[in-house]
Amino acid sequence: MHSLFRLFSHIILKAAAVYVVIALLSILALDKMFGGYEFYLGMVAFIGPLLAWALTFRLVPKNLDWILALPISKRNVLALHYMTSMFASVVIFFASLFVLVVLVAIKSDLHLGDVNHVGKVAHVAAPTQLLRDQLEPILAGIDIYGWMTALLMLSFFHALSMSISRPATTKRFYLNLWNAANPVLRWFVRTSWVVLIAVAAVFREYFLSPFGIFVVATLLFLFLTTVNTSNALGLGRRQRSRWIVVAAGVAAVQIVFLFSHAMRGVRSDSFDRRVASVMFLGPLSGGMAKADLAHLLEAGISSERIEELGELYRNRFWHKQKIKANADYDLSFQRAIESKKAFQDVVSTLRLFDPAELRSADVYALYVKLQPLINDCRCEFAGYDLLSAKLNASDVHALLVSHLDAAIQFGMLWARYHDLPGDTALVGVIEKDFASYNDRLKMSALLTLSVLRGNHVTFNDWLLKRAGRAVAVGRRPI
Amino acid sequence: MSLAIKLVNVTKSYGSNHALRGVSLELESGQFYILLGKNGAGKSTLMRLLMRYEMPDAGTGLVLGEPIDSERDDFNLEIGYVSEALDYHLPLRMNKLFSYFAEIYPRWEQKIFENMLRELRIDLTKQFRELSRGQKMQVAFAAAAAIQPRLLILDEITAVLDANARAFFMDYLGRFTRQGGTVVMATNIVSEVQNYANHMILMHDGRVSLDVPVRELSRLFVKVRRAPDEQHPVFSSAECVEVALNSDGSTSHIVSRQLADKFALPARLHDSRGITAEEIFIYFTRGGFHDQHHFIGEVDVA
Repeated sequence: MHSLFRLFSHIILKAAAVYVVIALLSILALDKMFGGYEFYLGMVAFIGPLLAWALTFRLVPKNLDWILALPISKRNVLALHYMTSMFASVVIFFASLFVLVVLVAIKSDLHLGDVNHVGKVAHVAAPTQLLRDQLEPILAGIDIYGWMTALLMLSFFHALSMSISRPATTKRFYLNLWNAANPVLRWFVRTSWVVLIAVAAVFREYFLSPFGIFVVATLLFLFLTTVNTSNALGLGRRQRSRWIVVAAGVAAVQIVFLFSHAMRGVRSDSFDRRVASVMFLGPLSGGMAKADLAHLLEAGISSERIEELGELYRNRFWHKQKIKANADYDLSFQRAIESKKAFQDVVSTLRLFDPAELRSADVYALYVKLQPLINDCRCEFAGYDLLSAKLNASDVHALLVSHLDAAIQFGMLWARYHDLPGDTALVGVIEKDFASYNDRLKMSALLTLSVLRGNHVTFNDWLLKRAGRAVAVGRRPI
Repeated sequence: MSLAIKLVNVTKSYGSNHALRGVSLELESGQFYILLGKNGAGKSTLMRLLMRYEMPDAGTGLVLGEPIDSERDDFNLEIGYVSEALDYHLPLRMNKLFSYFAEIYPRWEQKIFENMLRELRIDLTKQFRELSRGQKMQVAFAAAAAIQPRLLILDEITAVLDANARAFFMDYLGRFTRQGGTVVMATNIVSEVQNYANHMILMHDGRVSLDVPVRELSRLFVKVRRAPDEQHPVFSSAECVEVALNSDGSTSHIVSRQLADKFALPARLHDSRGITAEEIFIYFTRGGFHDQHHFIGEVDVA
């Protein structure tokens, strides 16, 4: 194996040397002809990994026929492939780095002072200490999604380095599986994809959660690669089973680690970590109490998180229905609204609740919160969604005298859409405050008055104070 | 004599396709075996199992004393393998490439490798990919010889070799077996191999149909010649198979010795020309015979 590794290393080093020369010359030439030096530097970052992968997939897999005839066990063939893959990645990485440094130096963007500074820092602190100092805050700062990405990348590179494939053999393997001699196996293979789709459809909430995606991707990377490689190497059943068990074990360790990490996050004191963990686990965050989830919704979270968490909350505790504000003893509508910091966050929170169950105090609290946010962002909130709220004439009256433009707007809208006993009393309130309204409210007030009185009143009529009281007729039904 | 290869009831399937159905063989050291069979008979699968490219589904076997499902590194140390499919996809000159083989095989003899290629006029400073198909085969063969193997496994190599190279390698194989080496060669070009081979194994549909020493062929089978107007009843037997059309309009047929004795064939029917392995192959293939014991009984290889 060592001789073969040296043989492949020799080729990798040659390829890296050619890559360095071509990259340097071509970038300088392209820059001279067309400019765009930074763009070409950026391209090196893409071309490098591609070259490493090309080398990985050319060396061992392409030469498998004669390698297998050599005195080398299949386990060592895999080890050889893994080592050449890693070696190719490392060599090309440093080759790319070298190209970048040389090019930057040639273009005089790198000063001797920069190099000296690095030297001084390295001299003062031991390299391991430097590394530890760098790593500790990074590790501490990695959230659950960071871990997921890191583990997925690890599995991906691991799978790449393990992947030995011979297309003809792979095709024959899957065809053989499809036409298996054992009727039970054949039946299982031919129907399993339907079962898989059905299971995925039924439990889609699980599969579509980040954790579900992580589990599927990890299993695909490690499990399928192992099956494919063991097939390309022509392993016996016992050896193949052993390899699959090892791959499944590696996948299981990653999955269990991430799951336990996320579950610790669900019970964490840190609010951000709790939210991230619940979002990450999706329906599997069953360990989180309703009160905890409600507490999260009552906190100042962003609209995306409100929608995701709210969906989770509604799915688990309200059978996917909207939340009835005054029937949920854990989640307070007013606290949930009060804690939000942006207009869109308030709107997203409002959409979680059933508007027909909102009471006047809820609506009032909503507008108290909304008014400054509307002023800040110059947003509009017509309030059509709230028309089914349970209000009466005195509630509307309270809105109209609230001195909150949005609340007044909604009060008038509500009055136009509902036929309430005693609503003609609202006419007086509107008339009284009419002069203080802005143009927008005035337009709304005219419309409201015409509906409440049953006549058509123009803006000029009101300017000239010619309009009089009339009988309210012709109200529109909801 | 010791056994180079012993297989007991080895089976291998690819899905519903049974490539090998309980193959049992005992191949002695110092012998030259040719493996014959129609395409898809299981020859290459058998070769691949012997080389541990694949593992059998069932059955056991030993190759140079090592189990065929061995996971040891040195399993192939004394086995040379040449196949039409072998290719070295490496951007290296051959002298550089094969210098690594000297590290891999402790018995690698660079002189054997270089001398063979010198005689075949192949330039070692070229890259493998620059060679023709036949030359690639010659280099692979020279490499297999240079490891000084005890067993050579050759899968369909004669078809791409020119007449000169074929004669060169056949001479080498003849010397190799005389020195105690074992050769197993799968081939479809029987005529040029049979003079060197000691033993003939015929495969059909994943089974061994015939396993006899070549020298026994004339004892086990009789070649008869049928003139255009010949009406002897043996020719109406299903076990009398036409194997060749002669230039004088007559046809050559093969019958088993048992059948010839049964019909007490007259001397005028006997074809004085010897029986070739190719004719036996045609006899079995055309006659649809899959079990030697059915009509020739147990073969006494001693």
